[in-house]
Amino acid sequence: MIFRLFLLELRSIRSDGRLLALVAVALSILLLSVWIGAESQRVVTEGRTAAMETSRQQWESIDRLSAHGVGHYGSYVYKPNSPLSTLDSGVMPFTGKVVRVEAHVQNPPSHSDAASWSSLVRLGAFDAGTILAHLLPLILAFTAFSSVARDRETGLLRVLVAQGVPLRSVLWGKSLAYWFLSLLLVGALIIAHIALGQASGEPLTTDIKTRLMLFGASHSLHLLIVVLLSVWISARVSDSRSALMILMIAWLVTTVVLPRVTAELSSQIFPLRSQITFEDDMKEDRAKGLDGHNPRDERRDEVRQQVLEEYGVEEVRQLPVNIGGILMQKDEEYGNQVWDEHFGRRHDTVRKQIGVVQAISFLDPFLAARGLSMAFAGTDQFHDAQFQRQSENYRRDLIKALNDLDAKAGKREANGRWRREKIDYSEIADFQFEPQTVDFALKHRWPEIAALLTWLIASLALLHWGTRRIPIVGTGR
Amino acid sequence: MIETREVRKSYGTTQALDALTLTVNPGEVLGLLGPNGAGKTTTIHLLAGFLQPDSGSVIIDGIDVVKNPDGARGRLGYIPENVALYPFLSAMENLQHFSALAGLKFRRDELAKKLVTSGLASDAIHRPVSTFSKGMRQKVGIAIATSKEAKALVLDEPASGLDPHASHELSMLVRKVADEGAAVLMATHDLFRAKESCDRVVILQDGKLVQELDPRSLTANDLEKIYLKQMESNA
Repeated sequence: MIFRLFLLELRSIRSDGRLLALVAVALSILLLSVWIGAESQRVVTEGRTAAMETSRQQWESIDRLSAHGVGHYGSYVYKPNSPLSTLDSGVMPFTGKVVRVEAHVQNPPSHSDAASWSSLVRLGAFDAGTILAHLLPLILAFTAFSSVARDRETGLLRVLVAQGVPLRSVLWGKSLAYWFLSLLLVGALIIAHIALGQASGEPLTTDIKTRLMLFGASHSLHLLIVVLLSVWISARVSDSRSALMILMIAWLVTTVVLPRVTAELSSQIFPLRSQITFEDDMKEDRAKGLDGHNPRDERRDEVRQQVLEEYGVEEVRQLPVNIGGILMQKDEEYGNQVWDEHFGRRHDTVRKQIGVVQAISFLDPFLAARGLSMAFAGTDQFHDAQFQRQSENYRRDLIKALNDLDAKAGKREANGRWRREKIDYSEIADFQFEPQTVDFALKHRWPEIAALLTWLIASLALLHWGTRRIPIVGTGR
Repeated sequence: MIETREVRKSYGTTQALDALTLTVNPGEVLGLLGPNGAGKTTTIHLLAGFLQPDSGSVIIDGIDVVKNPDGARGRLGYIPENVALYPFLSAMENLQHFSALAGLKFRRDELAKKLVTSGLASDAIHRPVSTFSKGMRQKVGIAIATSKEAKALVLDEPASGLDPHASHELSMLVRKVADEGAAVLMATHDLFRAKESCDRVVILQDGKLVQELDPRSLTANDLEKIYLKQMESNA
């Protein structure tokens, strides 16, 4: 019975040119967004590859003797785009893509799309994730608002019910029809993404396949919730105009008002220091010592004494190593502790802010869908923090390697002076970003998954048990 | 059998039905007469389980409509004043789908026969109902309701929009359904059709049953006079 009603509703939608046009527009916008995303990804990848090659060439042509000087000269690391960022760019347009790695300083990522005055600043992100989470629920509300109300107004609902069709079957048939349309759109989007990826030679790994599947599943689940609630409201409210008004208000609250209120609330409850304050605090701690009682000069003297004792000599001039390199590395390690402390605190604050959003996603399924969309696309804040973490780890390894070379690559001359050897810096490996697997996304995003499932269960329960008060006839006698 | 016992129904402060008690026996056609707003459609909607009474009970073939609406509807055929159909389907497809939704399966020739028996011209059977007049849609609705071969049939102004010939055919069809053992309740303004097809007629006014008549013992003119007199006396 439900399948027959589902087919009838599909035919009804097909016969209504306006609804069909709306679906066609949604499909066109989605496919266009994938194409634009892929094209933009291609341009960005080309630019990044060229910049990486130039940086590497510059690095390999360094002709300096002092390894520590090379540490100051530094290098650049570039954030690779997640292969699924064409579907959902997440926070990536607003976070930096390039980090200058150098001695003593942990630079923040720079050169974000938003900072480069791209069209993003004027128009916001245009990607499939945004369209699926923002626009498609609106289109579904527009198409489904009259699904039951219209049948009640024309009298078709009475004929159906009089034939012995349970109301919940009517609601199920209609819901499945609208969800089927959503699945077609999501499916077309994923196929288009795979096709464009294959055409550009992008490998389709198991992780990407899993991420794609979960990306599609999370949006499909969100859209099912939207459809179930839209159809139920269409049935529960006595006329289609009221149903449309309620659905429009619900859309506005869940996709526009509540997300902004949530963002503001989370930053009020867990305020984040500005980048300038963050850097100033780090500089201060590095200079004064972590606990404020450990000035740098005292630490240097302690290290110098330890090294002299280790090598059993009385003067620096007698050491078989360059103490400058050792001191620099010790200072670097102290700086690393400072960074770990500050970055850790900052990361904790961001996690707490995301926690607020995740808690409120139990009230707003849009927030859950948005969070999962970014996470499965590999473009959320958790994934972005991994780039910062890995680029910092690379910086530490690089500077340690340079400081070790500064300390050891050379020999002590008879007059006590340290003579440096020529170093081949091309032997130092370039930055290699290790992308996170989908497990990483699942580990951090289980609250959103729980929120979506809760909403789904509630919507299904409403459709199944919430039909008793649904009017079959209008208010007239 | 169709029964209502002491049924009350109000819309806000307006009392639509006031302790309405009716019985339609198997094989009987009961005509429900009354002016606009008398409570005829409310009665039909209560019998079909579209509305719930404030008090009293509504029973179709021994099943309480409030307690078991799906079970009661399985034994009920319903023809509204304006039959709504799937406009993109033909008459045959509409009948096929609605029958299937009621759990009935018919061959195509059986479906065609049912439509023709309901008065639809055979050349209209395969046309989309979006091209149909109100009367033609009404005939498809009659085919849908009668194809259930239900124990009870309720009709809400079924002849509305039908031409005299089709109205006469409807009267004959209703009579045939009753003769096959169904209890039929027909709300109508058409006194002539009521006389033609009903075994009994009751007059409803302001939600109350005010008079019961045997139309076979009266001429159509007598029936009209009694009806109008009743309306004037209660005005």
